[in-house]
Amino acid sequence: MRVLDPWLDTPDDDHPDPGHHATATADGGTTDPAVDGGRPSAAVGYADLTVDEMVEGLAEGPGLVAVLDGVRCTRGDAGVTVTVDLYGKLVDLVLEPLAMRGRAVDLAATVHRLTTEAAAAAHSEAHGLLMPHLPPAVAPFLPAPTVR
Amino acid sequence: VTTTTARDDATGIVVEVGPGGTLHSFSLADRAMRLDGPRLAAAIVRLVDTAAARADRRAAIELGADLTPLGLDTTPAEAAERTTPDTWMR
Repeated sequence: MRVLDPWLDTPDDDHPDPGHHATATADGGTTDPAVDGGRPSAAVGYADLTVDEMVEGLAEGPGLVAVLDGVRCTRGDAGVTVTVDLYGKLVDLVLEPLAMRGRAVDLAATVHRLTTEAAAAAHSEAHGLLMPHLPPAVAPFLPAPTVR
Repeated sequence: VTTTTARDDATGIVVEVGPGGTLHSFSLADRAMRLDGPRLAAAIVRLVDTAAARADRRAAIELGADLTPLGLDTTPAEAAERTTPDTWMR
């Protein structure tokens, strides 16, 4: 199994010996954090990785997935409070009496607007968390946060 | 982007989400306002959750990958269907 975690590790992680991370890369070579900071060169060949391998590599990061999974953003207006997760999924919704006094179509529009705003904020936060951990060859391809 | 739409005819809630649960469209029928705030809110979140599970599963199939390590719910479609209201659409 190919291990893809060296660029996800940070110097204060669980392995004080940087040599511990000399790791096989996708193209059959190795990376050594003591030499190149743990980030494989652009020649590693990420295009050769399967989606499963990329997911596996990310999941093996030092708690990165857990950190991203904890991203939550909340927005509120007119008696409506929405909370979304990393993916922009609505995970909590509070509808106060004020929100229930209006028309259904207006309430739906408010919920949709706030959810979209919160999702954009969550995307931006996740982008900031993820960027430092991406290999240089891949980082430029991560879409910048946008507001829909 | 592949989206999944779910509706609950009893409450008049319709949600359309993409993989991960991103809300693409959302509508409420007037009868939804007969519920109190907490119950309507719970029904909306529940329907989004159901639709998101379905969308995640579809995305996993299209990518041919297990996305569970990234936190996406790739519960087999059959299980997702079991949590789907009878009014499930598409």
